[in-house]
Amino acid sequence: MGLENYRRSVSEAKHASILKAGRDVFLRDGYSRAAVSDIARDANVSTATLYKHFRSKEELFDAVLQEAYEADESDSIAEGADTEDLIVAYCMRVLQSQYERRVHALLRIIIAEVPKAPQRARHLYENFVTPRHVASAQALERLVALGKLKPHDTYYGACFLGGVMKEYLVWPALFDASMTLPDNAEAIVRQAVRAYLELYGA
Amino acid sequence: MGLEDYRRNVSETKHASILKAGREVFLRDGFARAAVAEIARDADVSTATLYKHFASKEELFAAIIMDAVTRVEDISDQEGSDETFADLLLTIGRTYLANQFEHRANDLMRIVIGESSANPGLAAETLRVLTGRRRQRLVTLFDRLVERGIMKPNDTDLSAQLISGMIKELFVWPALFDSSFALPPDTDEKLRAIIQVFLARYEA
Repeated sequence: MGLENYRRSVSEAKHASILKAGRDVFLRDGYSRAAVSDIARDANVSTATLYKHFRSKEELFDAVLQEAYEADESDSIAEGADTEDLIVAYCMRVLQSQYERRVHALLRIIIAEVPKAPQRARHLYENFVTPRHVASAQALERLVALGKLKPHDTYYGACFLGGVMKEYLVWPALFDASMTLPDNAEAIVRQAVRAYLELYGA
Repeated sequence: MGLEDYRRNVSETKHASILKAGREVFLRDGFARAAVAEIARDADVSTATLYKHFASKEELFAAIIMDAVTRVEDISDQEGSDETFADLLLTIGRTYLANQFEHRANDLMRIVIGESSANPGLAAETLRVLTGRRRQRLVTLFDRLVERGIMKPNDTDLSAQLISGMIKELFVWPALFDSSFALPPDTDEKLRAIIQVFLARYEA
């Protein structure tokens, strides 16, 4: 491994530890009260190094959200035999990832910023929250293309599934920081998916 | 009017003015920073009187939320009329949105969510008021509609969550993140589109 590679790997390690420390401090202190110097100290880097990786606190918070919302490989709807199982599995992956990555806690932080920094909150909503809805509608669109669903306005289709899942499993989590994904989550999701398929199943 | 009535009347007026002042101070300062003394002053009562009406700042806030979401909400009244199922749902949707937007329930909700780590009790109470009671009313209404053969027999807890979930998804969710978000001009059309989806599944 050359010097160049060594430097790159040190830099990547620092980048990752700043992200992790940033996430922890934001989750603990909220956005406004989070101190960049705390984050640098927890990440074991100087504030100068931190600012080399992220030009501002805003940019660091964006990167934390980016990471939390990043789709993993399994995020698309796989091909398979049973449409109900496919959609249930997709919804469960999204929910599990949201609970594991503490997306609701990060959303709470954004919501708390709305009165003080409305433009910033809108930026975060448009760049991180809205794309999730669009991705779900696209996933349903692919099932339509595969002939597994009747053609329908998938924007409202995503609303149907997203709305009912949020109602049971996301809204309460916004109000209750200690909420974990309940054991009956899959049963709830399956019930919603069945109602959806009665309408749109091919 | 006897002395008893007079006293009750004064007390009700004070109650209302504390609610009103509290609402304004909370909307301006958030929950944690809102000062009870200031609310009392704006309501023109002593803090002792305020605490006679509401045992704590939490209790006052919960009462304000309750007031904001129940102003125009008695959906059960509408059930008896000749409205079609679609019209009934439209009325329910409009009423719900009027509360959320005109009575600033969205802004109050945002305050609670932002402070829920610091004040879990308040958040739990608010969620109970916001969803529990409302949902129960909707479930009761749907159960009666099933009985009367207007709605297909169904799991009414799920269908109630479904219709309110879809409405929230389109209108309330974005408003949580954007205090300038107003109901769009095509709100009624969007409500109707949601209702069409709902009716296709549930209308008898």
